[in-house]
This record gives sequence, C-alpha cells and structure tokens, in this order.
Amino acid sequence: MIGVVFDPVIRGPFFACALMGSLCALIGTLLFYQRLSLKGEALSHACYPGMVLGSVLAVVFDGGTSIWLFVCALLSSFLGAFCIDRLLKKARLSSDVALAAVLAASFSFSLLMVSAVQISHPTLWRSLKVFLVGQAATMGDYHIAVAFFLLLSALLFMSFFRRAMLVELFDRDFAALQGSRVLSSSMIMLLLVASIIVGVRFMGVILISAMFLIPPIIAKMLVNRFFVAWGLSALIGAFCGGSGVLISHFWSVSIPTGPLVCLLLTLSFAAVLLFSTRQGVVVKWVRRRRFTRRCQEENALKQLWKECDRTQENTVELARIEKILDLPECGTLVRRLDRKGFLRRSSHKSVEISPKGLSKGKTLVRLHRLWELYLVRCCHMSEDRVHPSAEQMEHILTAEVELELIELLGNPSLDPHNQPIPDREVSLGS
Amino acid sequence: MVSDKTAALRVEGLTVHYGDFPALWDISLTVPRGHLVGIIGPNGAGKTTFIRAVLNLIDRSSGRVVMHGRPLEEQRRAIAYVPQKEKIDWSFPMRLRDLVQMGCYPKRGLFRRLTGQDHEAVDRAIELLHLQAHAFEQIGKLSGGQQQRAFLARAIVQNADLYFLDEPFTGVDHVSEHILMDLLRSMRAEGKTVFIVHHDLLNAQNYFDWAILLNTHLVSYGKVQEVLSPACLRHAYGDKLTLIEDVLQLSQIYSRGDS
Repeated sequence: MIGVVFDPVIRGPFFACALMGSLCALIGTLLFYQRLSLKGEALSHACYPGMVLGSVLAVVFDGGTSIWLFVCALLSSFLGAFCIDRLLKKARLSSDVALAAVLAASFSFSLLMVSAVQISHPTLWRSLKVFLVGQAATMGDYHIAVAFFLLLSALLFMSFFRRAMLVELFDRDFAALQGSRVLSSSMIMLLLVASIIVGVRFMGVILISAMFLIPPIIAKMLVNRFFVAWGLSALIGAFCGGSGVLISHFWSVSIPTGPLVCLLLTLSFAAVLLFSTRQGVVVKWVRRRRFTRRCQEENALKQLWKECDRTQENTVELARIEKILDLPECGTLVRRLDRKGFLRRSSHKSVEISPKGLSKGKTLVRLHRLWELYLVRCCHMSEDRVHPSAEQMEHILTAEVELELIELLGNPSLDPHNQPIPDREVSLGS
Repeated sequence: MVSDKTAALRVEGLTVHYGDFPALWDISLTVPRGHLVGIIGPNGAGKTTFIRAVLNLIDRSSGRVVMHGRPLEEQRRAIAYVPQKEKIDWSFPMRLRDLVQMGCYPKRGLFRRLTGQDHEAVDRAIELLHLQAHAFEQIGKLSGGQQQRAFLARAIVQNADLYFLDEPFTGVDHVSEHILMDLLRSMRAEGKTVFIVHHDLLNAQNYFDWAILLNTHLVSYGKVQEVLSPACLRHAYGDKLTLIEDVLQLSQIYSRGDS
C-alpha cells in the first residue's frame, strides 16, 4: 500500500505536492503573523503576467520554455512585491488595499494578454489556462528535486534565524531595538516568490494562496507555542498536499489535484473549528450545555435541602418534589441526580437524599447567602437587589473563595434577609 | 549640570512630525542615572512619541539622543522597552514563559543555546512578579495586570541599565500595581534608570522622583516636586487647571498623610 507512492506515475505529483505543501505552509506562517496573509494570493496573481509573457517569448524564440517562464515570472512577482511595498510604505495604504490593488491590476492585465493569443496560438492559450488551476498530475522527478531544494533552503534559513523571526513577528519594537531585520531580508522574499512560482505549477494561480493561508490558521487553533505551531502547519501542508494527490489518483483521473488539495485544507479547517479541544464550536457547546445542566441539578439539590431542613427528614415524596421543583422534565432530573449518587429511589413514591446530596445542597445555600451578605456589606448594594446575582454566583464560587468570604465577613451566621447561613458540617439542620 | 558620561539620557533638539503636524517640538534635556523618571503630560502631549523617538522606533525630524554617553546603536543590550499593551497581538501562540524567555535573546544572539543560568534568570523573574502559577498559560488568557507584569519580567531578564515603560499602570489591578511599584523601587536601588510614561497626576508624586512634563514641547523637567508645581502644570494642562491644581493639592495631602 505504502509502496504505491513510489509508483512512477504518482511519485512525481505525490512528493512534489507534499514538499511544496509544507514549504508554502512554512512561509505562509510568516505571512500570517505579519498580517499579510493575502500576500501569497497577490503575488501569485502578480507572477501570472510574467508566465504569460514567458510562454509567448518561448514561442517567439522557439524553445527554452521553462527558463523563459521562470525568469519572467520571477521578474513580474518582484515587480508586484515592489509595488505592494511602495503602496504600504510610501502611500501608507492598509495592507488589504495594497494587496487587492496589485492582485486585481496584474490579473486583469494577464487575462487581456491571454485572450490576445487565443485565436492566433490555441495551443499556447490552452497551456496558459492550465496555470490558473494548476496541473499536478504531470509533475515528475524534476519537480521533486526543485521542491526538495526549495524546502531544504527554507528549513535551513528558518532554523538558523528562528529566534529573530519569532521576535519580529511577535514584537516588532523589541526586534527593532535589537536591530533585527530578518523578515524584510531578500532571502525571505526570494523564498516566497520561488515557492509561489513552483506552487502555481500544481495548485494554480487562483488556489495557491490556500496553501499559504490555511495551515497556519489550523496550527494556531491547535497549539499555543509558536515553534510547535510553525512545524505543525508544515506537517498539515505536507499531509493535505500528498493526500490530495493520492485521492485524485485513486478516485478518478478527471479530478484535478489543486482544487482537491484546497478542499482538503478547508475541510481540515472546518473540522478543527468544530472539534478542537481548545476552542472548537462543538466542544464549547458541550461545555455550555454541561454547565446549564449542572446549574439545574444544583438548583434542585438546593430546593431539596431546604425541604429536608424544614421537615428534618431525608426522604421526600416524588409528588412533593414535582411541586417544589416545578419543572417540566422533573422525572429526568431525578434520574440524573440518582445516577450521580445525590439521591436514591427508596420506594416508587419517594426518594431518599444521600449525605452527598444534602451536603451539596447545603453548600449552595451557604454560598448563596454568603454572596448576598458580601454584596450588601462590602459592595453596598441594597438587600432587595442581591438575589439574582447570588442565584448565578452560587454555581461558580470555589471553595477557596468561600473561605475568603467567610474570613472577610467574620464567619457570619445570618444573611441580609435574616436567614441563617448553614455551617460547613454535613448534617441536617443549620 | 550633569555631564555626558554620567547622564542616563541626553536629548538635544528632538523634533518629531506626523505629516505636517508636529508631535514633539525641540526637546532638550538631560536625566542623571538612577532615577524613576515619570514622563507626564495631558493626552496627545507626545509622551509615547517621546519614548519611541528616543529609542529610534519612529523617525525623528531632527535631534540627537545619547544614552550613557553613547548612541543607541552601540548599546542595544543595555536598553529594555515595555510597549503599551494595546500594541501586542495577545492571540499569538506563546506561553508566558516563552515571552519572558525572549529577554535572553539579545544576550544569546541568534544561535547560542540558552544556558541553565538563563533559565534560572527566567524563573527568578517570573517569581519576582508573582506569575509562577501562570507560566505555561497562553498569554491571551492572562489578566491585564498579569500581561503587563509578563512584559516587565521579560525586561528584567534582559538585565538592562535603562528601562522604558509605556503606561505600565493602565488597566492594572491593585495587586499588580503594588508588585510593580516595589520592583521599580528595587531597580532604582540597583542604580538603574527607569522611564515611565504616566498619565495620572494623582499618584505621580508617590511613584517617581524625577519627572519630565510634556505638552508637545518640554514644559519642564527635574525633581518631581519642582516639576509638578502649579505654574508648570498650568503651562502643561492649560484651562483644565483649576481641577488639576485641586487634585494635586489632594494628592499632596494624602501623601503626607494629613486628613
């Protein structure tokens, strides 16, 4: 199964895409934290006029296609980068405006050039259109070598200057004070432009920016250390690049790789957005729901404790429970409390509150009344307005805060409404 | 007059423009070493601009800045800067300890590994600022005061001679304020010079022993009691003066402990 990636047909696209994926992610991370995420997009469009021109020149001079292509693309990307830089620094435009301006101008210009050759040179026209969405399937060992060389130089350079880059990305002033200027160095520029030109070959002008943009975002959502995030984004890029090639190969020949890789990246992003343990939407929803349920249970236990405290018995009839809780799903709630050991069904008509349940209820009443007293005494709120806040805070206050409150208030025995504050012992009565 | 060599900071004819609008106008001053220096003035007086121009973080229109008798470029390691909290991207994937560790980078340069001593210094600084419990939290999860302290811990690790703090007391809780103040005093005791941008006149007298009073131009500088005289304040704060004078009087009463 693993041997399949060494198959001559698939070897070129697979390794080239995986290597390029991780290269783009490495450089994309630098762009992302500089808040220049769309620079990849802008420069890929800026290199397209060069590619068109290069192809035309190759036809005119009859040969040397890849050299013409590379040189012209390099020049036009640099021109684009230069324009972006000027617009940012001299015209003081915001980065999105500068990037969008360069992107739109160069793309529309190249489309005009492409349409000019449509009738006269149909073959050239078709090969130019390929650059828009890329063509990974035709990549060979030569492309592996180029991608490997680029990735290796990027890795060497980045591991060499990793501290400087971290400082420059996080705190520009600190970096400026130390005289550190790696990110604005021409090596970074060269790596960026070279990876775009090679990347366009398999992802296409339009989609390449996803390779720069998405892996760093996913990595940032997963980990909280910069160097780990950097490495992780490179792995994500490699994984999506490689697996995109495999899927398109085994699924159907007519599936283009570039869009598939892009889709894989987007899907991974969506998955992380939904399920990551740190800030996933689903996880957050589950946590919120759990908290609401806990509040519901705690409120019930509070009421039950008050009832037991009144009757001085630890069994309560189900009918009575339904009356004091006054909730539609009272039966489910009792079953949940039973499962958690807060109470036991003693007969089919009544339940017995366990010591654990009583102590929990008592604690809640205590916290509630302590908080009310605190608000009245220390925050000078009026007595009739403290109840709603205490209703919420009783679920949140921790044991440490409780001790602090008791100390602050001098171990009080009555709350602002002259009701007793129950002690910390596990027994009925206050 | 303090000579060039013993002065912590010497500024001559510093002017900064934002476009056509002058932010600082012809500032010349000399500050001796070993003081807590408050940089005080109303909103838009150019306090932050002053620090950033001195540190060459923004372009100066004209002027010369010398620290410890030498230009900035020759002694980058002797200078630590704590920026305003608002300038930082707090969602950056970085833990508090990583942030403090950045303070070792100037000394170790790009390549040398951090030594055991470095790690000890980092731990000590974290402890000094009472941040041990949060060392491995992502910086965005810290409270405002803790964030401010984290940056100060980084500055401590840098072990600089000159410190520049931009509004370290804004959005800081009471506990953090005390920890910060104790630390600043002990830094002064070690002979370091600390410049602090501050907007609150009320406690300026208790915090600093030197002050630079700015309002686009230099209103006055020197010992804090002299600088915060009613005449100078009137100059700096203009019409709002009656209020300021009252507040100042109050602050003097409180700092003396009178009732």
